[in-house]
Amino acid sequence: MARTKSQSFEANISRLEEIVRRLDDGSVPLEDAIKLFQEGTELTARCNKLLDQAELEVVKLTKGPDGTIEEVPFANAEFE
Amino acid sequence: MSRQEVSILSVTQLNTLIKAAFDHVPALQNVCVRGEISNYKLYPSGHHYFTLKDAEGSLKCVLFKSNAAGLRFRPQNGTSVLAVGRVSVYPRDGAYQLYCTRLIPDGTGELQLAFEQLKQRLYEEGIFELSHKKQLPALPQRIGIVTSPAGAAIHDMLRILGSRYPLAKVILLPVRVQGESAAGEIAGAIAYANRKSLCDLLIVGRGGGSIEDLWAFNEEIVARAIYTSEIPVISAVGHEPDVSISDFAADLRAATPSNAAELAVPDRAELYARLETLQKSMSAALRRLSQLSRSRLEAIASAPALRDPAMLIRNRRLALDQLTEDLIRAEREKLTEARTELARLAAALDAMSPLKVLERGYACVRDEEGRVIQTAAAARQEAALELRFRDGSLRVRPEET
Repeated sequence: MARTKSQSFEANISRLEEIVRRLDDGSVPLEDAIKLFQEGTELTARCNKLLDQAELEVVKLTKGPDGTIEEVPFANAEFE
Repeated sequence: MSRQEVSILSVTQLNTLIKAAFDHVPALQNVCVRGEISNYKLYPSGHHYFTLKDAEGSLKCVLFKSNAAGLRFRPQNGTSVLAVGRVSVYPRDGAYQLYCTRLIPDGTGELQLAFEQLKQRLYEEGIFELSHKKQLPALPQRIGIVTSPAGAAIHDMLRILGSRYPLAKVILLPVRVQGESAAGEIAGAIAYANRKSLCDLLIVGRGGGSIEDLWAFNEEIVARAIYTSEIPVISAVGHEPDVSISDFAADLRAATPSNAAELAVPDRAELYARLETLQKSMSAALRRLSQLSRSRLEAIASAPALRDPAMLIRNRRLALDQLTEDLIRAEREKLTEARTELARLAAALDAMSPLKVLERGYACVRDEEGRVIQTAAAARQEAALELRFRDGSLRVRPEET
């Protein structure tokens, strides 16, 4: 199954939390800390962008002619 | 009955006839009927219209405003009541109905009773156990919604999910939410979602309606499907005061479908705030770390070794001098001790010297080979002897004495 935007977001934010934990711990050498900080800043930007740009994806399950169940886009103009 | 006797009646005439027939039956003029209220409606005029039901039949009823003044409760769908009044015909509809004069609540209705009995049974079985409730995912990836694709409920939910957390994917499992097949379809959809690991959160529900409309969510098969679901379930049935068996079986009960959407996902605004907090803690931690490094550097730079490196050498030289002096003193002491010991030994040796005996007037007798002769018998064996005095030696011949 394809990775959802929510999964990317969750992965990014948990890595971000790990970075904050490691930085807070204080035992990280300064050089590594700067690298972590840069990584964290990029993750924050990526998360913000995901939240800014995401649009809810909605599918409906329907039974095809051969009886198999498949996902079709659920177009519902009213929910927007 | 002959053909001639048949007269042609208008609908109104017939209805009036029937009405008159009803009105002449004494048994219908004062009845007390037990039934469950449904299709209840209070008109702006103040008249109450509803249907009384039991397992097999239904009866149209009206309670006029003038009689409603004495009502001690608010009639509701599902309430079992005793209705007192007379039965008559409403000619316009050609339908008979009960013209109520009094309405009295009658304990619990049949459906209510069924509800309470099922609830009690499932409760005893542990279907509602709090310890069985599953934790909802903090950030759902895929949200399965088991509801009607046509109702207002799905619109409300999609609108709220879209504005709060548009990162999730929504999978609608369309089902009928009322009628005979509804419970089976709902339970089937929940089971299907689990079989296919379709989502990490399920919302099961529908919008408001009468107790009959909502009844599918009071069916045992739905409660069991919710209980068995590995995927956490939010139940969202009807409006705030409606409580269904599904609500008890679910991991979380929402008051309405909209409320379910709110409970299902975090709000985007909170996530923005969380990101900002994380970024701030990161900056603060980095600032702290660089300050720490700076003060460590300062501590190192101000250490004596780096401030005055020559001092190290001076200190070492002093230590070396000290050691040299100690060494010399130790050697000197050892020499003195050896000298003293030598003098003592020389004195002891001197005291024991044989020369000292000769000094005192004794002489030493020896044979010609220089061996000391200690007895007269030994001396008699020798041809010549040597006598040693303190000032020299003398060769003598032994004679018999």
